[in-house]
Amino acid sequence: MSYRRHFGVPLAAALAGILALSACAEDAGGGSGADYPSKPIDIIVPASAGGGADLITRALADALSKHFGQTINVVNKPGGNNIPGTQEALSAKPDGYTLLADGSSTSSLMKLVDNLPFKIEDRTFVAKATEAPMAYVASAKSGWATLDDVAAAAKADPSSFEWAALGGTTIADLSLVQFFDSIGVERSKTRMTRFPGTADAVTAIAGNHVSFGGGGANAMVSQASAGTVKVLAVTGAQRFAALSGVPTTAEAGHPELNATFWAGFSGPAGLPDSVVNAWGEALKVVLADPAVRQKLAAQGAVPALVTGPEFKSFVLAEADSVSKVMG
Amino acid sequence: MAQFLDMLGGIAAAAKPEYLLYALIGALLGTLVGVLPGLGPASAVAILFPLTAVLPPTGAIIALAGIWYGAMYGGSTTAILLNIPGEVSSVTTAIDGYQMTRQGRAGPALAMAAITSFLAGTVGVVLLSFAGPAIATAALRFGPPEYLALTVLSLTAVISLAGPKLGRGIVMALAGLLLAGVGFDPISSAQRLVFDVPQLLGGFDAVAIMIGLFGISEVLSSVGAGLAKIYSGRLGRLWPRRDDFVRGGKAGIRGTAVGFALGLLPGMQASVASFLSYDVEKRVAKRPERFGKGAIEGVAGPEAANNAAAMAGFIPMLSLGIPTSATTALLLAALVVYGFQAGPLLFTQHADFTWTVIGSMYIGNLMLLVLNLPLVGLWARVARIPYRVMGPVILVICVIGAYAIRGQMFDVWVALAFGVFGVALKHFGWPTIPFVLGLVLGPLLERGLRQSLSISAGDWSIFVTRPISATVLALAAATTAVTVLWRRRLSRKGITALEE
Repeated sequence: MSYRRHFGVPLAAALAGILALSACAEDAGGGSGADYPSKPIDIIVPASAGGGADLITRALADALSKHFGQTINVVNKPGGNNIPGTQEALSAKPDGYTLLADGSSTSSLMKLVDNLPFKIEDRTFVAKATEAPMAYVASAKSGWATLDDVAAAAKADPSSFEWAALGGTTIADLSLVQFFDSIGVERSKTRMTRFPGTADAVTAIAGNHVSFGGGGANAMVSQASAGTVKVLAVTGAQRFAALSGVPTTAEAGHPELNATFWAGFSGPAGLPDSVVNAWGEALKVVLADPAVRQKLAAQGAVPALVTGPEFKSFVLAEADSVSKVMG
Repeated sequence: MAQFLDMLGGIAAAAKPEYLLYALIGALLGTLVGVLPGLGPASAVAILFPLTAVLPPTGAIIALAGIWYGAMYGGSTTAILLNIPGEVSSVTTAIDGYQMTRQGRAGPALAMAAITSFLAGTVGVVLLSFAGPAIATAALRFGPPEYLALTVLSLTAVISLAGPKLGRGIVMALAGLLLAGVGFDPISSAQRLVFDVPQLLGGFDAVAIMIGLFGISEVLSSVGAGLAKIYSGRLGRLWPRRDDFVRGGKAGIRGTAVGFALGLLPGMQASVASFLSYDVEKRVAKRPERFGKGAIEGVAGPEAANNAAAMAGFIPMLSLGIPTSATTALLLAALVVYGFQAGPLLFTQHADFTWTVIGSMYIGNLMLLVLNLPLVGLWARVARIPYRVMGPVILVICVIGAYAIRGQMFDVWVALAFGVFGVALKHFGWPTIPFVLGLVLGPLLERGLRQSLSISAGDWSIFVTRPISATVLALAAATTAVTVLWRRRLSRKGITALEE
């Protein structure tokens, strides 16, 4: 019967394709030790290609791969609020050949997820590499010039105070929640509109559809130069180079507003110290490279190297802050 | 006029021999990546971005432009030849494009797709140079209620995409909207319709579903029907006929208008432009029953629309720094690497560079035409390869493409399941396009509605008291009324045009 003959071939071929793909996913094995790395390294980015975390990881991976003399594959595993990709990286063989591109959204912010299939601290903290400041921003038409202006308006009439939040589980949300917490205004009494990303939120603020919001400082630069938004303050230790006229939160009298968008690397629990040290050393060299710094600057990020145990306590402190103010 | 001269200067600056070479290599690489469904323009640009870092700024941007256009066209090529839309915006191209291939007219379909894309790019770049920064600020007037109104207008396209039975089309669109809700709620991150299956947290990927509904289901039903070749006759002429040029050209102009207007708005996707363009073509056609059976307008209009949308997307991107899509977000990042900050000042302070970037986009577009027209003959022959060879090849491409979306086997199973579902739909006469439309518009509809209502504190009058939103909603109501009345009149007269 020609029906069966025709059907058999494509099915067999598809099956072969599936098997080939599953085979690719298997780990080829390999030792770790003094010769680390002796084969290509996979870095799993649990988000889509082209996002902030992805571009920072790619910029670093490029330089790190030259430093290590080994290929570093940046593998995007987007979707599922970062959970499946993070879980995959953290349950890999702890040999230093599969690492996680870590950040708040793959660590501290997971405090907000019910029934998380793994424990946040159950990983080897390798290093925080960079951080990017967050900015508080108001529409130009609001007339607000400082964080205190915003605070006064929010306190005077919370029910008509309009602001832009993101998904509720991002570092930008943490920065906004910290703000309301710090000025003592109950968020539930205000008028909050959620946007899927910083770009959408800033566009809505620029068009004066909502009055106030926050997000990565880098995303505010062009609207600020166009004069459609007013950047009130940025987080971080120093002023943000592209917005040099904007005070830091500490300068604006609010040092407690300290959320930043950081990027780093973690691995499965039980990663050998030799691997953690190799990465610390490599990052130190790579982050000093002006070409790398320039690429990071394009993402609004600056080097902020913190390794091993110190990195771990940083993340756990952030996680505490997340569950305290957002939970 | 000064801006127009600047634009010509930009094209001239981008037309140096070495830049042309970068554009050609970029377009070639982009086409190769874009042919794989699941790897759309954004992935192609992100993956190939490091390769361009060795080039000087202008060269790198030109190469990226080539990659971008190459990937977009690669998606259309597989849509036309194999019924596999490489990305959501090529779904509409597949409808009539694949039918043309089955009639041995792959050549004209591919050629018209390339030509109208190029024409749309040309018109786009000229409009860009005249209107540019001035219209960019107008886009800011579109807030959540306006986007909701535009989404509702796009949803009315269901009426013309539904085929003979409107009810079935509406049911399929609703099913698509429902399926789009699976996964994390985009607004509050609540889990919806997940049923404790971790893979469902990420929701269904529209591309995986399309690979199944179109590519895989086509293979299954072709094999079931014992198809020997996609087209068994002698290949006719490869070049479009005069008639193709006239019909396709007009469709291309309308598609350019639709695409350019929507492309100016940061929140709208190129895929929405191509759906609306297909809808427009079907509405203005004297014999709408030709659509779905190989109408050249169905290929030319949407292809022009998504290219024009891409070109128009540069206006908000360059003059306001608002990324209109994942791809423009990447290009925006690339600009910053070279020390340029997008914004209104870019056109005045770095006019040379800005116009060179725009010129590069145009050159990328041109390269694609140069690269693809000679290949049309080769591609067209694909239709004559015995299906016992092509069937498995298509299936393998589909499986790899589904895997490539997120590197998850889950998407492969989804594609295979929707392949079977697609066969069932076809067998029982249920339309698939409204389903895809619902799937694409679902998130936009939900977001617009919920954001608008939280801005207005639950007051529904926000949609009719804002002039732009009210106008667009009125337009949606009017087109619906006209089309429904027209369908009724046709069926009263006993004209069975739509019943075919």
